[in-house]
Amino acid sequence: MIRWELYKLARQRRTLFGLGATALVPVLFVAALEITRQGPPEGEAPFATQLLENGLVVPLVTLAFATFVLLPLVVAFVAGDAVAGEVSAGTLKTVLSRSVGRTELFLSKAAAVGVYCLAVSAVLAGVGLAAGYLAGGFAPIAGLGGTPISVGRGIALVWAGAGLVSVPLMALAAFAVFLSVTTHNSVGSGVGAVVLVLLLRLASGLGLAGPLDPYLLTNQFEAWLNLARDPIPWEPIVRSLWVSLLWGISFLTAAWAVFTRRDVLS
Amino acid sequence: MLEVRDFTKTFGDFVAVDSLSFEVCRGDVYGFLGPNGSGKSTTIRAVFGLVEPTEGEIHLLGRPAGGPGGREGVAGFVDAPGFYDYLSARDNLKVLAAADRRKGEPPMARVLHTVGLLGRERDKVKTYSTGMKQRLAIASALLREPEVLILDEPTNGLDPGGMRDARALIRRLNEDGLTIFLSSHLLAEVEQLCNRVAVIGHGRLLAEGTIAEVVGADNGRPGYRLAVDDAKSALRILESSTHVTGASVAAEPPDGLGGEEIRLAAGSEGPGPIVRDLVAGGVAVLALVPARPSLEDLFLELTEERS
Repeated sequence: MIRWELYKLARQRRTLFGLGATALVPVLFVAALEITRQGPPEGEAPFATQLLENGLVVPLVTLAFATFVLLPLVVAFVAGDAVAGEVSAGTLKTVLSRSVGRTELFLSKAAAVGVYCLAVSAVLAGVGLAAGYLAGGFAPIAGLGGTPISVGRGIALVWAGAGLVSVPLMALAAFAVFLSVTTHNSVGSGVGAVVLVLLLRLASGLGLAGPLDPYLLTNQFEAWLNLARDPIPWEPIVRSLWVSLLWGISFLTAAWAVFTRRDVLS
Repeated sequence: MLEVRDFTKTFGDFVAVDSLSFEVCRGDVYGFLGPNGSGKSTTIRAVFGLVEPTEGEIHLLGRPAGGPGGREGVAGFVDAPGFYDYLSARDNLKVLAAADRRKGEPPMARVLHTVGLLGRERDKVKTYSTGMKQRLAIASALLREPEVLILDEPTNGLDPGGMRDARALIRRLNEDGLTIFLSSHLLAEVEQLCNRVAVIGHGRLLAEGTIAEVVGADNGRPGYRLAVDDAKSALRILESSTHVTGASVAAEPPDGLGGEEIRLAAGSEGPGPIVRDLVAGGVAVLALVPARPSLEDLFLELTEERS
């Protein structure tokens, strides 16, 4: 079933649109840099001061920027359609009239959405590296603590960062799947997940979360930046992983409970 | 093959199906009739395990419908069949075959040939007409090589030619050994195809049995159609006759009988003495035929009576 869920996902317009939009971001970013010869103001983004001299910085900056809205957005709209889209097309009842069990179908859909989260992160990293290389070539970069990072480690940092970002993305996707299962509304589920991101960012920005702030889902998106320090502080990275897993498993369990028990009426 | 026992489904305070019981036997083409909102689709959904019965039980081939393996040996569709319109018919069938968890290659070419879609299987479903989608739905059901085929309004949206083809296909499948459970609004179609029927209204069973049993269930209806040259005089004679238990002038002109039509119920001696009385009274009897009530008559009577 997983194979066919992936096949269906790959053939849907919104999937391709999400991947295309993600791929476009580093390209547009490099194009804007080339035209204006002006990077983001210092302090607005990590590595910003090195942007104009070093292409290796491009994927790192775009990854940091994309976690704010772009990646949550493209993931939310695909994950929000996972069940709701099938309900509105009448295909859920068609599939569930066959031998496959609801749990197996749900896990296949969740796995396909997880693969999509990995794919958008990988596309952002891959296209970012390619665009950065074509724009300015690669050179060692200064890490966040000022320690130089070699080109090889810099490339590894990009891929590891993308991998780490995909974990809270999957947790967010799980929330969108939960909304998809409960509301049967694709757009509403996508919007709901994006609203969650905005509310959590607002709560964190205004200091409303208090001691819970380190455990907000949105704050896990920045954990990968710690890989650019020397020595690497593993505690926030490990925390990001288990906190994201906790969010994700909670949403998925709730979604599974509804999916396996709810009457299929359309 | 399919046994529905005291099946009840409620949605909040609304009772969609109320203590419904019937049984479909091997080899049946079983018609499941009811007006919109009568609970037909809810019942079929429960048969497929898509909705949970509030009360009662449904068994398919001896297994509880919603339980593990409950859909083995059974295939079909409920409401308008849904397909992935961005995929080809072939890919849709492959997805559904994967959902069947079957070992080995599904009999793709055979089922496509059976429904007449061979050659169009690589086209995207969004290019298909309603009739082609219905045929694809039947193909997807046959892919499971079932013993029981459940079809919800299989001729919906088809043109007359498509309906004729669908009926022929259903007959052929039944001759090949499939038991068929068929929900339909088209009563003439059910009359042609089915050997047994259940009529439901407001979620309750109104009549069940062979078509002859169901149609003959109302003993009070006139048993003959009589065409005469003068209905008024004939009615006067019939009302005073001891051989007639009921008579009325038909509201519509008789089709093919000529003259004016009277519907009557004869006493135990049959129609012979009645004809004699009429002729003796100077009324010309143009035709006398048994008035077998149609399934449609009965359906409308049963469902309108209770609404």
